[in-house]
Amino acid sequence: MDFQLTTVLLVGAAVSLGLYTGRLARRVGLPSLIGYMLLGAVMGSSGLDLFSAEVLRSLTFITDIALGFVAFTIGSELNLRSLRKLGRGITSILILETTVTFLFVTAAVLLVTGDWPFALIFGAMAPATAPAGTVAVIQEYRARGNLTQTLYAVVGFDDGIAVLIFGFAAAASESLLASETGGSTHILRTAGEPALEILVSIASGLLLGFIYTRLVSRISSKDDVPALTFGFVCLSVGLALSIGFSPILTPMAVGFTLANTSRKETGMVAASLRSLMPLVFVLFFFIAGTHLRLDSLHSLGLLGLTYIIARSLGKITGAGLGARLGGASPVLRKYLGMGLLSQAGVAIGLSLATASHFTRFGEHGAGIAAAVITTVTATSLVFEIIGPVMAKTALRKAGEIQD
Amino acid sequence: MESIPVMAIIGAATVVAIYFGRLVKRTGLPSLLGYMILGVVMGTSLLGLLGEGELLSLQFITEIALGYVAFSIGAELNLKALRRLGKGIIFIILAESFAAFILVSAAIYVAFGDLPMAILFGALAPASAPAGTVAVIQEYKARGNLTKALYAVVGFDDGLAVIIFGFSAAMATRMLQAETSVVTGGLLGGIVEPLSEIGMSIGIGALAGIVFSFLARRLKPVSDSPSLIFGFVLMTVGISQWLDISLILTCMLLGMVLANSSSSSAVRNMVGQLRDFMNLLFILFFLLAGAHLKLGALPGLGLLGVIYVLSRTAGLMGGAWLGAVTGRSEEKIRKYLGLGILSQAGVAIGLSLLVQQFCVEIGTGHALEIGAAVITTITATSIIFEIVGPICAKHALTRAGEIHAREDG
Repeated sequence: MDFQLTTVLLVGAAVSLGLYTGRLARRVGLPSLIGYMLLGAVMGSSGLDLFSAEVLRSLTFITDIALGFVAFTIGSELNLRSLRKLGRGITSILILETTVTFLFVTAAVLLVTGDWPFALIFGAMAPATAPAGTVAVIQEYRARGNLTQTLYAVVGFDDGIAVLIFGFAAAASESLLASETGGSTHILRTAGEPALEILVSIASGLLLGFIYTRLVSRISSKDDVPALTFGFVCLSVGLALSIGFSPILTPMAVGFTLANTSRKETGMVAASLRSLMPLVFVLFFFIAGTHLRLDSLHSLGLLGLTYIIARSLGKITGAGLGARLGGASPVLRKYLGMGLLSQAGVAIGLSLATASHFTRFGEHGAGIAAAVITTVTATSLVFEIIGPVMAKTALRKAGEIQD
Repeated sequence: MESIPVMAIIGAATVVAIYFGRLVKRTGLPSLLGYMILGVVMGTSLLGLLGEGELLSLQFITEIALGYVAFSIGAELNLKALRRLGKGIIFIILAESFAAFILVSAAIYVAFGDLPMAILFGALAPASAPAGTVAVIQEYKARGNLTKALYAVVGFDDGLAVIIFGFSAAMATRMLQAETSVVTGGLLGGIVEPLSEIGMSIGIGALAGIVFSFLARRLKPVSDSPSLIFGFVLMTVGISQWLDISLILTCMLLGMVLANSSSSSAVRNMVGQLRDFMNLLFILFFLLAGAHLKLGALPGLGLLGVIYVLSRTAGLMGGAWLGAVTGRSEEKIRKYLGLGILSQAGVAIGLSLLVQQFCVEIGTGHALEIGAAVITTITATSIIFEIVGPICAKHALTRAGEIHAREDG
């Protein structure tokens, strides 16, 4: 009982203070979310340590719902007609920014360690991006234009491709390890799972989205729109999580269905969310900040630096290459990759999943598991801060933010 | 991990509740009854989709929602506007609370001849549940003097209810202790404690309100105001729980300081943004309230419950009328205000748990009997007041002409 009371109080204080640390960050030219995150870091485990591990666990539902709202927003920005105007660029960007990142990181880590299963697993983590940072920056600065549109599409969809690549690469790495210990696994069977996961996530999201759109278009009182949206976001996130899926694709598919069925309703929903999203971002990044472990930076090491550099280069060249192949504008070619650097919760989740799998494979597996966890935790800290800052720079240079 | 299915359940329940509410509204009743019915269906009494464990982990939603309700009550209480309603309000609050206390005590004493029990039931009678009345006002977008008076009465009478409860509960416990002749603590404690609780609630609420309105006035992007309100409501709720004082009073003060220190257009602007979420909050609040209702308690109503329901209703309505007449309030307030304040729910159940605890501490057969009677009766009568209260409030507002032509959107 007692812990709940203080939690309500602390969360309230955090939100109120967060507004002002966000303001402070903004004054030095950084996105507000950096301020929210720093406050979280100060109040969280690497600072005052006001939140016990148990309390933090009890707050994960906020993060999940917030991520659901972010994904839903992304989906609702993905109007197929305007996407088509951006051209097949999007497809080649998506494929190249993920695969090039995978290749770069795998190659770089292989060079450093000379260990194939090890390198493959790090490559597998690399394509995952954290959409919340980019979306928060876009909304805070009210960015508009082609780069903005493309960013929405890319950070949304690449979650799916990242899961696929992770599935394949992790399976390959596992079978290498398994052959070391004399066992064997079927690459196809392990890799089939992520494909199925994506299919089910999207299909259930589209189905929910269909029902949602029907209901929104018949709603008789506008006052009910926020409640309806909240209900469907919770439902899609809850369903995805309960079968162990990524909580991003399903709510995104719900928003996507809405955006491509009716323009009028999309506007109505967006208007009703506008006053909610800033609060969602404060909560989300504050909680992300409380999880940051500044002491993990020590363990960054050569491996971490390699990962950070290879991943950044991979994203930027991959996106640039994809944009060139798809005939996208020079602005996209130059700046898109910079907007895709965030990496956080999803990658940490993947690293935890890997770790729990890999301890089966003897000493080598356990070593990889430990290295993956510590390195991804440390590099996420870097990417969570650099990502939004770079996204803002990219949007400003592209002239899509008016300061 | 177990919170995951809960999230899906809450999501689905919110969606279904919207339509249950709609259905109920079509029959001329307030939507919140639909939310509550759905809660009952999903709750422990029927399907059990939301069990005791889940409800406990979701309790913070109820508390935050109540904080928002109290805040939005406070934000409506502009002193200048209240003064126009006259001293009637003060008379009404005093009269309805004391009349409810006196009538209930008297009726139960006459029926059962048990003075401590009668006093304890009387002590619980003035407590009201503001959420039902506020939800009805906001759903039908009611406007006018009765609406304003209702906001003021349901907000402030929480304070008076605490005082009456504290004093009379102390008196009753003393009588029960006297039966075993181990009297501890004086009567004085029974009045000092609630008074200091109220003093603290008002002080803390006002302090939070001053800081809050200072910040709110300077808030640059207005789009941040929902976050600021959220932060302060949570902080105030958290502090109130921590100090064990009334979160209704503190959060109401928070809103009231804002309403009286900023220009009315600025307040309207901020509170207007709240409206978007209030519906969602009401859905969650009444859904959970419904899930808590123990239909199994209804057969325990008995003669005691019937007397309590009737005398409390008579006391509140008669008292409100008397207060309005004494304070020379206008006719529609005189006639209809009492009808609007019948809701009784969480606060009373919380107090009845407290009573039971006292009784267990005293430990005599008589005391234990009373403790059990209080819990079962209040649980059962709350079901009735939670349903009848909002219906009567809507009826009162309609009769007073403050709900305008049926609008469906």
